[in-house]
Amino acid sequence: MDTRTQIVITVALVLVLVWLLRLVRFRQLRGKYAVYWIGTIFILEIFVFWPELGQWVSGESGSVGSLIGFLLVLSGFAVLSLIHVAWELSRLEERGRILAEMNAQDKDSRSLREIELDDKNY
Amino acid sequence: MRTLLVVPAFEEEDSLADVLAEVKRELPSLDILVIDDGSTDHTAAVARKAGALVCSLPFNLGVGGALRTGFRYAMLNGYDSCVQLDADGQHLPSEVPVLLAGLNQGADLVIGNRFGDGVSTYTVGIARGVAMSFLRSLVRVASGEKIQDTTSGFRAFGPRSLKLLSSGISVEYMGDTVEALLLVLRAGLIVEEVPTGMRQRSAGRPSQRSFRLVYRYLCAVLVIFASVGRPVQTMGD
Repeated sequence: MDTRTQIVITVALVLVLVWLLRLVRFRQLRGKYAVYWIGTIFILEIFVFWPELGQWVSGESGSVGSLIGFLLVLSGFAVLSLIHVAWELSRLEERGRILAEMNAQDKDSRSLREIELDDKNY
Repeated sequence: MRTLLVVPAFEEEDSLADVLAEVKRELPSLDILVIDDGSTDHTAAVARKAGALVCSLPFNLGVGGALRTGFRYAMLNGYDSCVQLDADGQHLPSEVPVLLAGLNQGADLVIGNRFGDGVSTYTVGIARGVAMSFLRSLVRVASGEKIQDTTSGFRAFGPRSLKLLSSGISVEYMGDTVEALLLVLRAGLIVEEVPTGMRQRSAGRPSQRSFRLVYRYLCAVLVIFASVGRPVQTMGD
């Protein structure tokens, strides 16, 4: 990887970092996810400045060339991240269902109370 | 001043009954609201049996979410001030009047300082001490104010801080302590510290441990760092 490519990737990653901090600042991203993605940016930077690490991964995994090793690590990470996102979505869906059920029960009990009051006033 | 005692509780069935009994004994005229933060044990039942108002959250929202619920309840029901008290028995209900006296003297937020001179024998380990010291410095740099106990959960909130935090309190780790403190200071409100005691937990287990605590501490520091200088908004803004 030449110096120019390293600089371009680093600038792009710094911009992503600034964007992440802005999201945290305005409470649009939770701290736990921000730490996760900032950690990812640092790891990507390590791969950008030490391409030998990619070669080592390729050697260990039986692939050829640093790019293949890098992509291998990246794909593995992407798969894990997607599984995590799917898990979070499932959890949120479950919580949404619980809230919807509670809301419906609350409305039902309020309607019943209103009917009872109407009956009393009648 | 009409005051509500807010007690966030998560899995505290073992200690809550004693804590509420002590509160009733020491402060018979105070209304108590226990926020059951998604407990799977009998926390809510214990609180009801002890005569407290109970608000049960359907799942765990953390102390910040629980407090926000309590503050909103207070605002909607005409309370002027709130006192936050832990359900684990570490805070002394007998010292609630000391916090309320601070509010009466004009403060918007009164913090029970566990390291105050001559009252508390509370000590922390080296790692925790360093972490707390760092947060103290962070608050000082961000606000210019010197607050000794930035992470104390024994606090009294006056009308202005109650209004601000009922919508503005963060649900992040330490959002209810350090971040809330910075929010109050940024809004130009008055913060006072009064020395208070601190007991050992009477039952249950601490909410955070070892590696997870470090991870959540890092998250909190990141959020606090990113939030420095953010404009303050309150309900209706």
